[in-house]
Amino acid sequence: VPGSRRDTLPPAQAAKNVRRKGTASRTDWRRTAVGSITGMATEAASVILYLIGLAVVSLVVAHL
Amino acid sequence: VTGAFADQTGPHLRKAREKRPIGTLFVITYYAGIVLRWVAVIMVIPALVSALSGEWSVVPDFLIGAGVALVGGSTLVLLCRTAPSRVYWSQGMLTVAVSWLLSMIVCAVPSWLSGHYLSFVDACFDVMSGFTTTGLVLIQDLDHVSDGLNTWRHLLSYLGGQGMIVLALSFLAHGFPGLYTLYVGEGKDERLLPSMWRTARAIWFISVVYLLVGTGAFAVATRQAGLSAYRGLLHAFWLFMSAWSTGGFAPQSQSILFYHSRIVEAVALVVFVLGSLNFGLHYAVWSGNRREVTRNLEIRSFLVTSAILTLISLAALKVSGVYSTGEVLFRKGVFHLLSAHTTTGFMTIYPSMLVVSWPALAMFCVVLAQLLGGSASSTAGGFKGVRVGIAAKTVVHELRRLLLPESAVVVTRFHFFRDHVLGDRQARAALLVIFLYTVTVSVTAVANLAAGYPLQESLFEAASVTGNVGLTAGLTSASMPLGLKLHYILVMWSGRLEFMAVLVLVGYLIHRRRLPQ
Repeated sequence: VPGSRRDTLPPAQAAKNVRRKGTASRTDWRRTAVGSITGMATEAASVILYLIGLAVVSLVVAHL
Repeated sequence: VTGAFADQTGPHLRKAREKRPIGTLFVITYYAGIVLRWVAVIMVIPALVSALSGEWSVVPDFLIGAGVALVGGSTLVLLCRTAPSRVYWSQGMLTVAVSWLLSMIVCAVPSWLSGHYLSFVDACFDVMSGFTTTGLVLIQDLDHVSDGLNTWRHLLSYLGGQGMIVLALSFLAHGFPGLYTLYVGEGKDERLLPSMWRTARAIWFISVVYLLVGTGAFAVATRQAGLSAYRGLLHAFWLFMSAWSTGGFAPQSQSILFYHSRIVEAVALVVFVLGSLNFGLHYAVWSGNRREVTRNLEIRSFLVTSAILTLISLAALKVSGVYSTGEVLFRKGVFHLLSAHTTTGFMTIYPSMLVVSWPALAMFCVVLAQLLGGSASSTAGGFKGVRVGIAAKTVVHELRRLLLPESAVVVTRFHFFRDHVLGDRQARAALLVIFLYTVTVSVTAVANLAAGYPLQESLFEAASVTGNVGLTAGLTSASMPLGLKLHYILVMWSGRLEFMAVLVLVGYLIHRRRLPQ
């Protein structure tokens, strides 16, 4: 857009923005990695809890 | 330009030409060709495993198979020359249906060349069983199969579970139109991201991360079970691919029973339950939306049905005196119930024990679990949890409508990634698929009975093959009639594609000039 900040950025600032863009990309990767690990942990924990519940049911049925 | 002449040269005629069957044949041929080329690339993986294991006599089987796939695929693409500019819904469905059949034939080549199959149909049966993540097998002498062939069998299951055609076209034909139609054609309908290419990439990312973690967990478990490091790693790789895709293939004829290991069974249980979950749910949880686990209709439906069926089957097993201790009840009863419910098909008992030892009530629970199945947009088969949930909500909705005054406005809501109001269209779609599954199970059971098998085993096997489960009561074997083998191939194929793609293909063959869009 004519007259906007992007249009009037000096070259040094533009170069800094490019570097920031790279940093953002690394942040995205970090976020993806953390999301994957916590997501997997949440899912696995939920399934294991459910299986423990079924194991308890099995023990109760065996002792009835 | 006006009048009739305008109609002959204008966009109307071009559009009409695109709708003609020849246009449809063009689309199918082009994309089926691309899929076959992708199959050729995939065959390199088992060839490499064979080379690593020093099985040099097995490598040519895969090279020949890759050659057939490459020549066949390239011929089909060359026949069309240019990519279609637009793909209609029906064309996408047809492409999926035909690509699965063509891929089955090509993928059966290395299996057949291995010499472990009595006929080419048997090899096709196992390939379709892998693609559809069913897990029923006709292979001979499974305990002495090469590492390369075992990798191939499990790889088919893994790729079939993720949605073979969508993955192939996502990576080999980036940006092509109509990817969403193929995604739906393969029985998945939950778009994770606005772009289908990104959705396929997200599915692939989740599966590969789980592949690394799950293979590691299985490697520890198989090492503890007594396998050497290399054999343990190979078994871990195969078991993960099979469990994650809810496929049910195993490298040994005794399935999971071979390992006699609590840890292997526990890891398998966790992985196949995770594998039966909706990719949309994985994506939501990985994106930080953890509340979806407790709110999702599909999860609630799975918890309720699996808990009820587990309780009934455990009670039946206890009363009949088959298993007495809590540990054995869990390792045999719960394991098989969940293996059936997630449509995996892993077994920790011999198939004959199911028929001889298990009480009829417990077997019936397993049959029901096989039909209910896992989650939509996952690797699992069956009715799918969301449809079961919608069907239950519809029953409650209708009951409320009857009990309340006529002037009352009855609104039923459910949460499935976002809040929905239950509508006629959703109820109709869910009940239609449930109806089609039920009809197919009935027809397959009749086919089994006509072939001379007993009623109980016939029903069990019919539910297993239609729900793409893979548990067997012993009916499925190389000695079964040829007609029944072909029938099972068709049922696995149509069950996995949730009938719609197959029905469109039948409609296309019958009414070639009235193709639905």
